[in-house]
Amino acid sequence: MAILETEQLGKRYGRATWALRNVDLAVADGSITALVGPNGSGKSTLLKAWIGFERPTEGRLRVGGVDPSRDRRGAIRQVGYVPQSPSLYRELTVAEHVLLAGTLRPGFDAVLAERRLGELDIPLRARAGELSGGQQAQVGLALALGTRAPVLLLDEPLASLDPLARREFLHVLVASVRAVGATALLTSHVITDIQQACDRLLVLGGGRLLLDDSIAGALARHGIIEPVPAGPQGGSAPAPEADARWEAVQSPSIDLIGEFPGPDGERLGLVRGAVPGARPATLEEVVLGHLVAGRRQLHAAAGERAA
Amino acid sequence: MPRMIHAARLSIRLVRFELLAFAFLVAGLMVASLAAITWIESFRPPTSCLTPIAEWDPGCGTLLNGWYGAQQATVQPLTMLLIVVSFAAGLFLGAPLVAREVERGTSRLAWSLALSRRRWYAARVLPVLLALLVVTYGAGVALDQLTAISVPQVDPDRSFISFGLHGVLITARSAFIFSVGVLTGAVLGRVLPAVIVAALIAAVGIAGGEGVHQRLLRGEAVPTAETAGSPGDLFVDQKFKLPDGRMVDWQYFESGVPPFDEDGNPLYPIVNIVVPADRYPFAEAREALALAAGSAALLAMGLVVTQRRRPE
Repeated sequence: MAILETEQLGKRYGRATWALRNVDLAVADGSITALVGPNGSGKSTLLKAWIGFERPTEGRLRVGGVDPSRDRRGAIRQVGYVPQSPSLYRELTVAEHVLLAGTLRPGFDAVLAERRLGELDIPLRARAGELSGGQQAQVGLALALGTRAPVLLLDEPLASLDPLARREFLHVLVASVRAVGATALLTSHVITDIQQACDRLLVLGGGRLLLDDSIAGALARHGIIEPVPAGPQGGSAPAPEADARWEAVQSPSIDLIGEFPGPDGERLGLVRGAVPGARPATLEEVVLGHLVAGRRQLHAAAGERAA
Repeated sequence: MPRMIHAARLSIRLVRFELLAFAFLVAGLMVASLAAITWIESFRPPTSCLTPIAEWDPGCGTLLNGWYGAQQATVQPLTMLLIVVSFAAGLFLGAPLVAREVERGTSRLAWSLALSRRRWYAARVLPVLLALLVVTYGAGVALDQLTAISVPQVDPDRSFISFGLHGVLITARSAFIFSVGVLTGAVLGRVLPAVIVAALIAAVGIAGGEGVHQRLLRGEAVPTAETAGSPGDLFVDQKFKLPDGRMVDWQYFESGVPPFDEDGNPLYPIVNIVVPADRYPFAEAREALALAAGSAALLAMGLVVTQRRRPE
């Protein structure tokens, strides 16, 4: 059953800037889903729409069956939210944040929040401004968990964390979510980390949903052809041994999703399904290939409109 | 109930520095006012000197000079400081209240936790407003005392001297500035622009309101014989009373016979048009209520903006 849903969701800023367009998605209850995409792809806008901070321009969305644009209070009741970048009051201590959450949210579980913070050795008497980025993120997570909401929305919680802090944060998140059977949706740029923590992947690009698959499915259903010769615009000449693979890619039966530069500047091609000569794709390559394809579609659509 | 007390305590905690700074400033100025009043009293001339010059005892001039000198040296700067600090307290406590939350991003956390933004807003605004009222009431009382020492012939509670610059109107005007600040901060979502814009709007609002009230008071003025008035009356105009009962001003005589005889004595009784000092409590209460109503309306608008705005 889907606990987070959108139907043809669109959000426009100003007259012509669409942050989200025609987004249809459903996040299953009890899943941990990663929402990835480049800056400006609409990830934060989508999360803010679910918590009622943004009103959709078109389409509908629901969280736990509640439409936030019609019942913001009901939607907030469904959600524990960890905002992008630390949003703590630097003058207040950690304990005062827990107290504050208790004054704002009826039923807030202060004992649970304080126990989580205690397990992480985060001093309750320390001011938020004195905590490291990792500790501040953990405080944000503890407050969100203390709401005992069925859905956790985490907006770039890993962005300012070092690798160890990221790992610890995800460990606490996964353990907590699994323990209470909640649903978590987190946005992130750090694909290697989310691969271990999440069971589902959503890729947003240019305000549109480009991929919606399980992590295992996304890995199983994509492959990489390398190197792919540069396109008609020029670039490096194809290596002779790549010719056979490139011919295979050009076959109408092969679904080439997108080309993108590899770590050494070589061009890689993301293909759908099992293709002879293709190697398994990493999750990062799956995301990159879909983002490139999404951008190409966007440019093509813009060109058609201009024409 | 404990939840509300905790919420109020945390709201005060978030502006503790500003609140303490203004409270200490006002307390310091109150102590300084008390010291100044005691010092001025030591220069106070005998009652016989507080009469028309013709009735002075020898030496009254020197005594009065010393007394007025002591007043000028202390009362004027202290009055100015108490007014500025009270109005600044309203501005610097009000404008950042919502604006800082939006600017620093704490509104994202608070509004994602709060099921009701109305409760959040009330919990943030009301305790700080209450603290402001207490602090500025102290300033108003100190200004009452300074007004009383500088015009000892009148009761400051029944006098239009320094109207609006002492007593409860200081508190009411500070609350009005606070409310302008809260609304401006909620709209702009940035502290510095909110402070600047709120200062301008509040200055225009208070000056405009005072102008309207002065016009209203003029309509309530009554004629009084030139010698019968009180120094605390609000002087509006001076006229001559003609034998037929009409009251005319100087322009009436410009093209005809002047209203004075050759020795400079008026040919007709001179009448002052004044708002009697006894009306002061009513006028003060009316302006305070108008400011309170304006503040309530501004805070209600601030709530509407807060409920509709998105955190950045």
